Amino acid sequence: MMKILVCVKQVPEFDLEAEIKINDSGQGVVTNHLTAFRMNRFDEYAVEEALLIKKSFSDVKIEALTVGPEDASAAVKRAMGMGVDHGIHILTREENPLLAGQVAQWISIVAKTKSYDLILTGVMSEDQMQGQVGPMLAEFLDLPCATSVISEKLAPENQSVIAEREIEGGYRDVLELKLPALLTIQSGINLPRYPSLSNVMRAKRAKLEIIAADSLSQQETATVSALDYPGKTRAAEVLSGSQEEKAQQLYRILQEKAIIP
Amino acid sequence: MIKKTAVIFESFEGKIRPPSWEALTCAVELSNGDTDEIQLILLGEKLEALAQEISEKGGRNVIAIETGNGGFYNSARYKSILTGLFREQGVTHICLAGTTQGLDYAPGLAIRMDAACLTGVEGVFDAGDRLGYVRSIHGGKIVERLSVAAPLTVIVTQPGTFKPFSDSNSAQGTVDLRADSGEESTIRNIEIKQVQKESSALAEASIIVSAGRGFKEEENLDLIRQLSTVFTKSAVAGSRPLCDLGWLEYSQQVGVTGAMVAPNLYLACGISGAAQHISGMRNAGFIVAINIDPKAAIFNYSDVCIVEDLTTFIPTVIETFEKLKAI
Ligand SMILES: Cc1cc2nc3c(=O)[nH]c(=O)nc-3n(C[C@H](O)[C@H](O)[C@H](O)COP(=O)(O)OP(=O)(O)OC[C@H]3O[C@@H](n4cnc5c(N)ncnc54)[C@H](O)[C@@H]3O)c2cc1C
Ligand SMILES: Nc1ncnc2c1ncn2[C@@H]1O[C@H](COP(=O)(O)O)[C@@H](O)[C@H]1O
Repeated sequence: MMKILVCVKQVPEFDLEAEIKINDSGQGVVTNHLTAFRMNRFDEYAVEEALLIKKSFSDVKIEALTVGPEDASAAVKRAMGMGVDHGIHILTREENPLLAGQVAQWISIVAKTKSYDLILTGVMSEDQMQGQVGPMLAEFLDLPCATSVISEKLAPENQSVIAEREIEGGYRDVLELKLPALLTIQSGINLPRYPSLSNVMRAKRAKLEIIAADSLSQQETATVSALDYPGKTRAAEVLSGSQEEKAQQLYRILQEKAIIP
Repeated sequence: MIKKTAVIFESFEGKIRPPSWEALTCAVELSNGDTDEIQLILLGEKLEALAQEISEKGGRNVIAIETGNGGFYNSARYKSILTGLFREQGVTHICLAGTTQGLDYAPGLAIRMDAACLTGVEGVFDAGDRLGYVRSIHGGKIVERLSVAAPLTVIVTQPGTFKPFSDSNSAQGTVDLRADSGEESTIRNIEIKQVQKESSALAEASIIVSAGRGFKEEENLDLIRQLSTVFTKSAVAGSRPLCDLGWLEYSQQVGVTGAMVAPNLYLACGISGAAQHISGMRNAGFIVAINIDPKAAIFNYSDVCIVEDLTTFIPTVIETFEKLKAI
């Protein structure tokens, strides 16, 4: 049997309805009943890729894992709704910051006991935007790793996977990695499916494997962070008035700048 | 504290990747004038001329390591060569550019060396007894200021955020050319293949109108095409998600993994302003953004901000512009 792990993260979506605000400690953002949470978009591609592998090879088991507080389990449930077989939740305390190195270490401790053949992560989390957990996890597990993977083909007969990494300028870096290996999945590799009703029902009933982060290792706190709202790099003149007035102003501004005749 | 910073340069097809010069600027900003040392590092194949170029333009000593392996970048080998080198050199900071290659090996290198690692670094500051780093989170709606207490920090810069290094006064450094035949790797390089030619359409356009996920439906893209026809010498571009969906061609994608553009006018419609997109268009002459969310990050990079629903506003712009043109 081949075992695949997909790491998924629950992220908040801040938009018109749920404006982003920094909390009183200055180290986090406020989330409340207005905040919509969803699975990190890049992780949807990773889940889909695992499901596609399962479809083309027999005897594949896919597990999804998340690290986070209570609510984070929704991302695992979503993955199960898409068709993942088993869910694992490394439960952190609400106040634990999720530092990349720490998250990767926690996952590695759990993964060591499970002997996965392939581990998939997203290329980046939309909230932290670091692209670190995947390659760090690979390092903790001493696995070969390829990031920004835009195409992959397993070759179980060779115990390897051929991966194409997207690099700059329309090029791809084509590699063969010995299994077990870790790939971080870039958007565009596939079209992630929506959860199916039957899988969602199954996911609802399924019991997640819950592991307390504290039982794995102690939190590091070498990093001090303070959040701020971004400054402006340009004039950022905000137009006002009706739509038509704004369009007229824009026309005049572009004329003044000699951008249009 | 005396810092010793290593800057890892990257080359592709015999040329230095431009963001490497930005990583050097970051290293210079971190350093304390003359007391701190900056060592330049280059890995790859046939490095002599490139190493010479870096030592001249960078004004510092270069260690260039021929890695064999057909000149291919290989993360497993790079991590082991660099770990050996940095143990020998005793560095406190490592700077490199957040290219797809830098992002591929830097986090693993940091873990291997027990170092802290920061990616997407857009600025540095003095945080008292430590150095501080600035990066964007939450799609650019928040900036994070971090300071790290670690004997070694790996700093990966966001392309386009630091100025490319240039200093005409700097003295030329020395070049130390080495070779590392390397060990077997669990990763085998097969080839570098080109899947897409760079399109000249975006490079030649003086006005680029660009669409993002705010368009929601493929049909809505007619709006951006019509808007484009209002201007002469214009082209239609977009953010990555629209290309992933197949609504636009990948040759139309602007950003770190798409085209880097600098038209006279960049008109961003329904684009949130994630760092990866901003890197590709921040050098445009004039930037106008249309977004329904007044807090959209794109507005922080814009000359003119228009808070409107693009589905109704773009038709108004087209109509108004046609009317005013006719006068
Ligand atoms: C390694 C890597 C490389 C990447 N390279 C690139 C790249 O080259 N180029 C790139 O673009 N991205 C790239 N990305 C992706 C990037 O991180 C963002 O995910 C992407 O840029 C977001 O695209 P968007 O702004 O169109 O979508 P979103 O972030 O979803 O933003 C949509 C915006 O539309 C607005 N909106 C919604 N409805 C309306 C309406 N009716 N009227 C007006 N506005 C509306 C919303 O307020 C929002 O601001 C990369 C990511 C990674 C990890
Ligand atoms: N808290 C988490 N739980 C599970 N997976 C995570 C977590 N954080 C990051 N990841 C995985 O690592 C990828 C990169 O995240 P990041 O390093 O935060 O940009 C994500 O796409 C996820 O697949």
